[in-house]
Amino acid sequence: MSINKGFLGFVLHSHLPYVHHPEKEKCLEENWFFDALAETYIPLVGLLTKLFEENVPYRLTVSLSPTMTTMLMDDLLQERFVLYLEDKVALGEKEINRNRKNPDHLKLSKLYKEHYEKCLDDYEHAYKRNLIKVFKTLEKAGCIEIITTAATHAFMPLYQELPHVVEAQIHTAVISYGRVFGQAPRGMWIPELGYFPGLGKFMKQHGIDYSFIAAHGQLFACKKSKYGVYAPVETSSGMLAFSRDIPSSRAVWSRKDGYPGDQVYRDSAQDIGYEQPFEYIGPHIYDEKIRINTGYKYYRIDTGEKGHLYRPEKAREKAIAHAENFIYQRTKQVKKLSSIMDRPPMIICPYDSEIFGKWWYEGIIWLEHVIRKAAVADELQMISPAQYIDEFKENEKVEPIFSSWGNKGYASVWLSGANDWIYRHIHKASERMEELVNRFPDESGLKKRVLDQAAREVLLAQASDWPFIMKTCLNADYAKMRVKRHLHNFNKIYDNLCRNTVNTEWLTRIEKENKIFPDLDYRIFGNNKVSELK
Amino acid sequence: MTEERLQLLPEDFLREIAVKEGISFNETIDKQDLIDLIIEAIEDDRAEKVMINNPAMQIKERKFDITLNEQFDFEEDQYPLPEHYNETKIVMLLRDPAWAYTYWDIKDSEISALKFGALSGELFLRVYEMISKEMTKSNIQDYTDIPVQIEDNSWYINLPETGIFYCTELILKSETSEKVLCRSNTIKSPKWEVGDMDDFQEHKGTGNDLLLVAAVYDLSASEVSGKIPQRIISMIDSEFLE
Repeated sequence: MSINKGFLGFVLHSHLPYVHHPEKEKCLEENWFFDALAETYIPLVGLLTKLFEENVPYRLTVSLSPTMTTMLMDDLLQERFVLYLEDKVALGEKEINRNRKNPDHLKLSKLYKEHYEKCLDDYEHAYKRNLIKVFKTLEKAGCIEIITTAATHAFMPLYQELPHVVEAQIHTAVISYGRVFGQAPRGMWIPELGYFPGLGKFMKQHGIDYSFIAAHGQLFACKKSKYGVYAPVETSSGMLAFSRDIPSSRAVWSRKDGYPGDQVYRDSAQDIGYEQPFEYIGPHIYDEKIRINTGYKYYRIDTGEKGHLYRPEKAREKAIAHAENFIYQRTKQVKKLSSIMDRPPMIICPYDSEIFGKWWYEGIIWLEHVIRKAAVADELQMISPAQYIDEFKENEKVEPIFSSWGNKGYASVWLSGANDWIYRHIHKASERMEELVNRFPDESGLKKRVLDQAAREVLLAQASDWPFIMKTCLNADYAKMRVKRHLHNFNKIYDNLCRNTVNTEWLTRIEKENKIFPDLDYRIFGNNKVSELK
Repeated sequence: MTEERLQLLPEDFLREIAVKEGISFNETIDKQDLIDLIIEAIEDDRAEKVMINNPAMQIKERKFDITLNEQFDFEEDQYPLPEHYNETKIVMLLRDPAWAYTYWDIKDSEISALKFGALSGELFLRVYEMISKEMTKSNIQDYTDIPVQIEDNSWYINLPETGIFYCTELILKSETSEKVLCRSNTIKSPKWEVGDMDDFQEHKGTGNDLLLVAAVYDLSASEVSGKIPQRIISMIDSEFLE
């Protein structure tokens, strides 16, 4: 690490809610995970491994949520993912045949089929279905630093009046990380960057050294840091908070102002899943009747006239040019900042991992070339926040304000007319969970199993994804069902415990369905530590 | 939802979808017209949702966007939740510096007393503005009463000022007396602005320097000078209002 350069802190946040339905032969929502694996995570670990093998020096921070790691390690989902890939390859065969007299389309059919074949081959043989192991290897090699996030990605500000919930979300995440990675996490991604004053105390208590916040979380605070958002601030608990850089975020996040909106890039909306007749596409869509994205897409971003063929070579050239531009802009930014800072600026670039590949098809190429160019840049260096804080131990003390990266910067995405009804019930279940810990402080055997499952159901109901989907997505029914189902399961357990009865068969069934956090201890919802924090 | 998918659904099911979507229609409407109404409503809904999302939320939305065709196969009553929890309690949640959400519950016995006249009066939410977290007389700066009905159980409250504390009581008020049924937790509304720029000014001095460390230097704000908190606010806000 050279302290004469500016620093780029790339953070790739990798999260999906826990979706696991052994009770069904197949489940449409499991495709959230499968699409992300095929379009983002397998290409991403392939890229990071290739760069490591070529001795390209780089350091990224990868936030892997506990729900994501659980799904990556789940046998059933692994099995179903292989079937998913096999189906994509089979569709590729059909596409090659369908487009045999159309060379331009044929080339793309072959490209996609080869992509899915490579995914399948890598997943089965190179990675042996174990992407966690690849991430661990990359971390051991010093290429990435893996951090965690709250257990089920709860939007913390809406639970600040229930400190035992905040504590349970963080503690469970740290335990889960330890079980998966064999060590303690130094960093933690705050779900949706949803900070509230005092949250750092809960995190620091569990050994979390640093996290990330929205820029205005720091800029609107009472006290200002002289480095603005280009150095972390020390929160009242001692945990360090790095702020998101706005210009570098916009360059990638924004379809309007950012690189992904360029018309040479592939249009992810135009997909043969919606274009081909049922007789042809039926076996490759959901239940043979619900049209879905298939991954076979032949057009570039619509310019107003549909039907412009996607040209991968041109898109590749543009992605490389955009990577150059990104490095150029960040270098310019560093030069300007260096003139007024007495230490190197740290530019924090947090992205949702699924931007690269799934949302922006060429994003993986862009990322590769950003890393390659940063590796040889004179004035920039990619480092992790942990490297930064090991070098710069003194930081200004500022307690960030309530903030998030949602629309308008606060909680309006997760608390609106579309989803506010859930909090009455989730808060009540959370209170009752604490009550159960007080009533049954030292259970074992079957009763502990029941209580552990109650804790699991409460945690799963708290995921920020459910209110998000209710507010912003068209398919809200699944999210509503999930919240209701977890609460229903919890209430049933609560009522059974009040009557001192247990339905073992039912318990075993829901344990199989929601088998996240195998070592969860229900007493995590106890209030011992919370009272100290209060 | 595509027209093709709707065409495959039975007419009774289409009517259920239309009701669920809040579409008004005549009982004699034919299938195609109903489908057109549903498509129009869903497209409007989609356009509105896309418009309100900032870039970060648009990408998050895409994570879950795997089909245009809603399933509509979840029974609303499959996992019933209690309508209320038989306790008298009020909770306040901060949504943003200008709005809070409050939900409450009233014990069955008190509801009955209200309905059948053992208790009389009207229900109000009294929203206190306070200068510190503790609810004491000396801390109360002002308060506002919001009339609510016995059937209500939640309310969005406009917060008139940022940087202060708020607490809400659910009050039963008659001509001669007031009874506090319950009191909420206290929330603090954060400032909705950069605030006192002196801390920055002390370190830097020029407007351009302020913009640099505030990460908004290249958002069409190259030439600025002096104290410019309003411009910084609008530029940061544009990140969220896009």
